[in-house]
Amino acid sequence: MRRPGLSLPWPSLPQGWSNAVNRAGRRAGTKRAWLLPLATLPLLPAALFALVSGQGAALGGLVGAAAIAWAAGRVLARGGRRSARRAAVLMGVAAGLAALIAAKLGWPGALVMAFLAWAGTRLLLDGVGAAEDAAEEAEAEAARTLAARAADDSVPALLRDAEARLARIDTAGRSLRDSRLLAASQAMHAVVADLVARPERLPAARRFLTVQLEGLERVAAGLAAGATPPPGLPLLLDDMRRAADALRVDMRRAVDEELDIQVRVLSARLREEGYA
Amino acid sequence: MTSPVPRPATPPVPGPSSLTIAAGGVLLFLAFGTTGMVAFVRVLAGMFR
Repeated sequence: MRRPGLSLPWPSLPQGWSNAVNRAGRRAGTKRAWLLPLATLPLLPAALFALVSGQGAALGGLVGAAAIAWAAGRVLARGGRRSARRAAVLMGVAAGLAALIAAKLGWPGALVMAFLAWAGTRLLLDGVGAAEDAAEEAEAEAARTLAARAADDSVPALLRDAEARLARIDTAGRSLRDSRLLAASQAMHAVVADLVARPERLPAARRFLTVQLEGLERVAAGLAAGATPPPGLPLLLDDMRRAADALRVDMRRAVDEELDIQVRVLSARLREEGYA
Repeated sequence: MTSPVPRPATPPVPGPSSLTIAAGGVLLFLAFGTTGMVAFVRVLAGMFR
């Protein structure tokens, strides 16, 4: 399974470190989140000399800028609404603060530096904001559809519940960037959609729905909590997707057979009645 | 009979061009590099004042 996260230039880290790095790398934008605090490295020599010579104001400005850049990295790593935009603003504030207090560039110079840092961060995080906005839009759309469906009494409560749970699994799969989890969840969406169209098939699929949904929820919860995916997980998720697809095929086949029988019975009856 | 729930579209994984990322890096480096350099000069000047 593709493990979203930082791509490391060295082969392996101790397990705990590796887990921490992978956890940090899960969400959208986190691949580039560590670049933000790193961008303040050029402030380090000035900060060291300010520390040695006891220039508190300059040191304060530089450390403050580094702290704000670190906070920007955290905002981005945590993800959420407009995190890329918020991180860019924080980077602008960090550069402006350092330019104003430590470099004493005055307000115009500080504003120029703030703008450069803001624009640089926006470019550096190009695509992160768009993906987050698209994810938000998709979630909002799913929530609207679910709310409309919840008001519709013709859909059995079990299927409404299944749709809501699948929407949550989708959200987790998207934020984890786990294509297999998403594929399994979307195969289940298709099963639920078929069952909504033919609720009389629900009793036969009830047990399957329960087992699959519980399994997917547990996998999504474990991965979201930062667990390292066990080696068998990709196979399991593929099996779950295949099982969902197979169930749909079976349900379709049953419908086809039903229609086939009806056609034969009707033809026979028409012949008997002398109309054909 | 209601229509099936439309599956929420999976947002595409962002694929920014490396040129954009590089340009962003250059701008960031320009901002913090210039600030750091000027701050360094100011601090040095402060030491020998």
